[in-house]
Order: sequence, then C-alpha cells, then structure tokens
Amino acid sequence: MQGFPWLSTAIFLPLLGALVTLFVPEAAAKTARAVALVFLSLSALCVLIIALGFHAGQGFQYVEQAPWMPALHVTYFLAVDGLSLVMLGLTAVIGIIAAIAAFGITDRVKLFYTLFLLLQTALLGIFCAEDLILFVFFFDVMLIPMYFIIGIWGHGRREYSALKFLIFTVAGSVVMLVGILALYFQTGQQTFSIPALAQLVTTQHVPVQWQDWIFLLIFAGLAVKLPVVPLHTWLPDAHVDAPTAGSVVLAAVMLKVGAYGFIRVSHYLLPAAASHFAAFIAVLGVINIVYGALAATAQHDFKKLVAYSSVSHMGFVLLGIAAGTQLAVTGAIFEMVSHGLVAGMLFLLVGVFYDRTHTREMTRFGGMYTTLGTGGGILGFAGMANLGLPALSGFIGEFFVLAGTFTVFRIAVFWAILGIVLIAGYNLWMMQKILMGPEKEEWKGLPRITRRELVTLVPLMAFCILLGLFPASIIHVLHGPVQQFVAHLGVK
Amino acid sequence: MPVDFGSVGPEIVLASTGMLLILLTAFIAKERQRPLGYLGILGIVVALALTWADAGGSGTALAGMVRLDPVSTFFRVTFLAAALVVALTGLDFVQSRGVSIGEFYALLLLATTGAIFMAIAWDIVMLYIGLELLSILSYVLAGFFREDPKSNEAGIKYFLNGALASAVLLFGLSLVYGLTGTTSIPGIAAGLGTALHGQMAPVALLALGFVLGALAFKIAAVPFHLWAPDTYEGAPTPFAGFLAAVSEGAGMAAIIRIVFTGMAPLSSSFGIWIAVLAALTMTVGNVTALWQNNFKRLMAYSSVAQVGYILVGLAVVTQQGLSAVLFYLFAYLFMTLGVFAIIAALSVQGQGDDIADYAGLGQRSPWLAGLLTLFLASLVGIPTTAGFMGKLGLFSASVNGGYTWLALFLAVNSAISVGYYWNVVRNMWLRPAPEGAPARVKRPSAVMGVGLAVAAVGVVAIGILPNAFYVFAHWASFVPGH
Repeated sequence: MQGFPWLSTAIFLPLLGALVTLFVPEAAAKTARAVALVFLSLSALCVLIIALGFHAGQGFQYVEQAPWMPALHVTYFLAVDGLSLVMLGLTAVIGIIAAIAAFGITDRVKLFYTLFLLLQTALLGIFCAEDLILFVFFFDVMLIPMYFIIGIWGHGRREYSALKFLIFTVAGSVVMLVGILALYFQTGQQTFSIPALAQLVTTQHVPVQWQDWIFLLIFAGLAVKLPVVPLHTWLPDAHVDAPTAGSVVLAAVMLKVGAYGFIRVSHYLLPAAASHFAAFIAVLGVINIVYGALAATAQHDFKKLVAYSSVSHMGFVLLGIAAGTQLAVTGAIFEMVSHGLVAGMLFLLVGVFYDRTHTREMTRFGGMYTTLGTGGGILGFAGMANLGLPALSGFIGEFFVLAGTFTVFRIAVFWAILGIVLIAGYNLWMMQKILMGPEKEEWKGLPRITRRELVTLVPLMAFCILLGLFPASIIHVLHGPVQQFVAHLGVK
Repeated sequence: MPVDFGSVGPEIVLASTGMLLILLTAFIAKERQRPLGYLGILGIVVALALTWADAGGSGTALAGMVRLDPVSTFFRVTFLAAALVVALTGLDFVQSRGVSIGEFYALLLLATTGAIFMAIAWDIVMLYIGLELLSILSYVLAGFFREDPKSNEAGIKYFLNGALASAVLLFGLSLVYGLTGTTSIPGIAAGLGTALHGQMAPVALLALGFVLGALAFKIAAVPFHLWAPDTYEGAPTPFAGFLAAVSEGAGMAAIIRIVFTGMAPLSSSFGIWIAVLAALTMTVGNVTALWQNNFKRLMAYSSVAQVGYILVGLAVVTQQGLSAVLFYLFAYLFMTLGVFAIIAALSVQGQGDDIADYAGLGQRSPWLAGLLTLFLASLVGIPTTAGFMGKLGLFSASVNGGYTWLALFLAVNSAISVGYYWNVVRNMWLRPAPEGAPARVKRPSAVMGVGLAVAAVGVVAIGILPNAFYVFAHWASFVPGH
C-alpha cells in the first residue's frame, strides 16, 4: 500500500532547494531567499496534504519502507502517526517563519539558506524516521548546519557556543547509538524498526539486567538534547549567541527532538526500565522546572531569560512523560507544540528589540509599550502566553501535565506549582522592565514594527490562540499514539 | 615447481611500472617528468583492473608464499585505490617542489607493492620481505626533499624507529619459527596449537608480544606512535597520506595474517591485549591532537586515534569485527587522503600548513573548504559520510562482541575528536582570512580535481549507500583461522 511518497517528498524538497541555492550567484541574495522560501513552502504544502489525508486513530500511515543496508538490517522506513504529524506541522510552520525572519541577514546569504534548508530536511526526517539508525542519521545530520548557523551568523561568543553545542550533542548522539545497538543485539531480532521492536516489548525482549543500562544510555543521549539539567549548559550559550532564525529553530523544533525521542524510543521500547526510573525522571523534570525558572528570574539579558525559560518548560514535558498517564503525556506533547510557538515568538521579539536598540539588557529598556506600540503589545501577548494564561496554548499543556501527574507523583506536582509561580514572576518582571514605565528619551523615535516582522509573529499568535481555545484539534490526533504509548508503559 | 606468475599480475604490473619509471628518470630532465607521473597513475589503474578481473581467485601461488583469497583481493583493492588517490593528488605537489617526479612515483609504486605483499603473504618470510620493501622505501620517501631539514628529520626519525621495530618483529618471528619449525603461516597455526599444550606456552605469548608490538609500531598505536607526528609533519604531504592510508592498512593486514591466522591458537589471549591497545591509542591520539597547531601534525595524531578505532574491531576477535575493520579501512582511505590532498593543493599555492593558515578559506575557496569540511566530518563520523557508516560497524561489532565498555570509549573519543577536527572547520568558515592571503585560491589542476572527486565520491557514496561496501567487507572477512 505504498502510494505517492509524500513523506520523502516533504523531507527532501528542502534538500533539493539547498542544492539549487548552491548554484545561485553569491550576489543575488534576493534569489536565494526566494528559492528557500519556495522550497520550504512546497515542503509545507506536502505536510498539509499529508495532514488532510491523515486518519486519526489508524496508527502509522504514509508508510514508506525500502531496504537501505540489508547487510545490517537497516531499512529506510518512514511513517507518520498523530505525534509525528503534529511535530511535522510545527517544523514546517517554524521553518517558513524562521526563513522569513532571516531575511535581515545580508552576509553570505546563499550559504545561510543552503544550510538552513539542509537543517529543515534533517528535522522533518527525524520526526518520520521509524528505523532507529535512520533516526540517529537525521539526528546527527542536523548538527552540522546548526553549528554553522550559530558560528557564522551568531553574536557574542559564537565560536565557543557553536562548538559547545556540537560537542555536547555529538557526545549525546554517540552514547545513544551505543544504547540503540545494545538494544538491537539484545533483542536479537535483526531489526531496527521501531514498530517491530515495540511489538516485542510484551515478550520480555531484553534481559532485565540489560534493560536499565540500555535505557540509561539512550535516555542520556536524548537528555542532552531536551536538555535535562545538568546537561543543559550548552543551551543558554547556543540560544543566546545564535542569530534570531537559529534561536527560533533551536528552541521551537530542535529541543522537541529530545522529548520526541523519549516518547518514540527510550520509553516506548524499554517500558520496564522507564518505569524503574520514572520517579528519578520526575525529579529531574521538577529540577528542570524550578531551576530553569529560578535561573530565568535572575537574568538581566532578555535573550538569556527566554533561553532559561525553555529549560523550565521542557521540565513540564519531562515530568509529563515520566508520569506516563494519558492526560500527562497528552499534556507533555501539547506543551512541546505550545512551547514551540511561544518560544519562537519570544525569540523573534528579542530579535525585533535587538535590531532596534542593539541591546538585550532589560533594565535599559522601559516604556517600550509607548515607544513601539504594536510591537510592545505583541511582547505582552507572548509574555502572557509564556506564563500560561488560560485561553492560550501554554495553559493547556501545563494544566494537563499537572493534572495527569497528580495521581502518580503528588509531591512533584507541588514543586512544579512552585515553578509556575516563578514562571509567572519572571514573565511579569520581564514585561514590567521592558514595556512599562515612562517612555525613555534614548529610545524615542524607534521605527515601528515592520510588515515582515508582523508576518512572522502574527501566525504564531494565531496558532497560540487557536490551540488555547480549541485544544481538541490536536488532542484528537494525539489520542491514538498516546494511548498506545501509555499502554506500553503499563507493560511491566 | 612451476611458478604461477599470473596470479600475482597486479603486483608484477606495479613493480615493473616502478622499475620502468626509475629507468626513464635517467633519460628525462626533472622539469619534464610530469608524463612519468601519468605513467605511474596508469600503472596503478592497470593493476586495479587486473585485481578486478582476478577477484574470484583462490588458492596459493609462488610456491605457497602468497595466498589469494577474499582478504587478498580486499587489500589489493584498498591499497591500489589509496595509491591511486595519492598519485592523482600528489602530482602537482611533487612538481612544485622541483624534485624528480619519476623517482617519487617509482618509490610510491614499489612501496605499494610491498604493502600488498604484506597483505597477501602466506609465509612469514614473504610477509617480512613485503614489510621491508614498504618500510625502506618509506624511509626514503619521508626524507625525499633532500634540501628540507624537516623532511630529513622525518626520514631519519622514521628510519631509526622503524629499524628497531623490524628487528623486534624479526625476533618475534624467530621465536615463532623456533616453536613450530616452519615459516608457513598455516603451518605455524598448526604447530602453535601443539606447542601451547606443552611447556612452551610462555614463549608463545612472548612471541605474540613481540610481533604485536612491532606491528603496533607500523600502525602507530600508542605507545609506539612517537615517530608519527614528526614524520607526518616533515614528510612530503602526499606521502603522509600514503602513510596513513596504505602503511597503516598494511600493518593491519599483517596483524590479520600473522596474529589472527598464524597465531589463531592464542586467540583467547590477544583480544584483551588489543582492546587495551585500542583504548589507549584512541584516547592518547585524540587528547594530544587537541593541542596541535600544525595541520599535518594534527593529522598524524588523528591517524593514531583512527587506528585506535580500527583496533576495536580487531579486539573483539569475531568475524563481524574483522568485517568492520575492513570496512573502516576502506572508508578511511577516502577521508584521510581527501584531507591530505587538500593540504597538498593549498601548499602548492604557497599556503602554509598551520591551522591558522586555513582562516577564511570558506570565502577564499568555497569548494575546497566545502570538501575539506566533508572529509573532516567523515573523520568525526557525522552521517552522510563514510566515517559514520564505518563507526556504525565498529560500534556494532564491539557491542555484539561483549566489549560495550570499549564502545563507550569509542563514543567518548568521537566527541573529543570534534574538538580538533572542528578547529580547522572553525578557522575556515568562522574566521576572516589572514592579512596578505590571496583573496581567491586558484582552481586546482585537472589531475588534482579528479583525485579530489574520487575521494569525495568515495566518502559520500559509502556514507549514503553503504550496502555494497558492507557486502564487500563481509565477503572479505572470512579469514582463515576464524
């Protein structure tokens, strides 16, 4: 039942775009931008077609399977379920928005879009890969373009941050690879296919003494990506020093790869070990929430605040996955999407403010609501979304996680609520410092928000409201995969 | 006994082309020897074609001195492919230094012949002769630039250390002969089996230690690697690539022949020795590489580290391990020779070999910088390159062979290696060109272009569609004795 390979088309259109961009003359920056935008849009169109033809509750669809390395039993295996589909949608939307946000880049434009398109291919690929080796393949491929995006077009200590990002993630990915190979050889079924391995779960496929070790290896590799405190130290550096478009993709999509990996690989394929470590992971989740929020509260730098806020929000995702109830896991995935939108918005706004003032020092701002008008209003919106205001998407995710976790880890929920208070605190302080107060003399006459900036921000705001008001739209799609995941975790 | 020369056709072609080159050198002035380089390349291509035609061959030849089996075919292909890339990418470099191209290519072809004889040897005398042919010519090649003190130092250092290693190897082999009374590798395997049950077991282990130590020198495994940095730095750049791809490969081939086949009865002992050697080699290689400023020295330590990775596949002493070793050796030749080719291409245009000299290369020559990034990414083991697929095989073999700790060593080392390989990448793309550097690097010549294309296509083809290469390595990994 292999029809038109929509998934491959969606994944490899950006790669094709990257190749086309290579042959655009260096000086023709506009052409490079247009080519990138066209290919990203075509790829997004494919994702839309996939979404329209998707039947919720029917498991994996759009399956593409072909032998790749028969000698090693590795297959080229793509498929989407509800979870993949949601992540694909997020990636496609963020890809276009970040590409538009990067129109401001004027240096080595052609190289930038070549790398950006390559990155998009890897990100789309990772969310559809149903073969573990293919998963690792895409996981590693995305590092290289991101290294260059931070290193060439970044700010501050960009060389240091880019290298740190690369070393941390490569270390994570090779450790994960060792874990995956150990899993492969312990099951002895000669397959790297995730659905096939998942079916073996019920039959005690991996000797108990091995399960915990293998789980820890894979978990550690993915934990770098999420990131789980204390493996998070690359994140503030990378997010802060990356150019706006890079920060947006990093925060909105790349962080989700870690969480996606937990749901798809580590917890899904090794549920017994996952339940051994559930309490431990829940504690890590709470540490993430509280530590991230405390660190964000202490920041003077606007961008660093947003970066630490990501650490904090990823804690909710981790907590929800650790709890493993239907409600909590749905909440975790919802939080992934919501954070993608909100963090994307916030990083775009950091860019908007920085481009005008060339500072990110929050105390130097003030009265921006008066100065920037609409721009200030959007920041107010984003801040409210970030602190989890009801009717916006962030509320749903956090509420579901906490409600779903309450039956399992009651104490963790209390601590997480403390985290929520802190989150509200730093967001309000941030808005107070930047937006409130009398208009400052030095910022008078700053240019108003441009049309291009609005084009990047308004869709994210719209999605944020839509998901806040009609969460059922994606919960409906997620129901099947989450149910299956939770059922797996129940297998002890 | 009739001697079957047909079965060593590729070696005969190589050796006679080499000798023809020496002869022609006497009649052609140094400045007009570029055609001799083409002749050398042609010789390698013909030898490669003969190997291809003869790939199914089996049995022994030259009165039982050499063996034709899949391993032989594999190493012939590997060494010839490596020599081909060295010859293609080295021509401009050798010419630019005003030395005799004919002599350089003659030595290169004869050294390759020696390497192949090490790999196809079925008798320790033949193996030793192959080793000496490779080694002695290598000393000359390392010191080939007579006017350049660094090159002299490279040659002398390599020679002094190499002579010692040869003696140690010979001593080990003499113990083996004393124990078994034969120089034939299968005979040794049979004889050692009996010796082990008697009083002579300690002597057998001593012999193993000597042989392994001497070959560890050849492959530059820690702690026998100290010659490598100076030799790589001072030697002519194409030859440094040859050292990494062919000379090391020949050492591995010798380990497979003597240790894995000849000393198969000792196989329960050498696994852990090699595992320790592997862990030590990759760690020391990688950590020391972090502090290098000279690109060629960096590549010397890189090759030490890579040898450590390859030894992982030998340490597990399984057929899967051997298959991973062969696959990695084949993949490795393209990436490492690609790097040396680019060093050579830039050095022809007067650029220095320090990493700082690579600053801004991304803008001065996007294609060369892009290719170098590809080769370095492959050495790190990033997907879409051969290096990832090679490491996948090594990881698999070690996890499956019960050496998960070694796999984790390999994992940590891969992460460390990002630090120095990416130092070069950072200079190329993230930093502006140094003062006074030419704004654009000139396009390399056609021969160099072909050589670079072969290396790049090799890296990407193995990295994306590796199946055929896995099948090839697997086919070759049925080593007698295992």
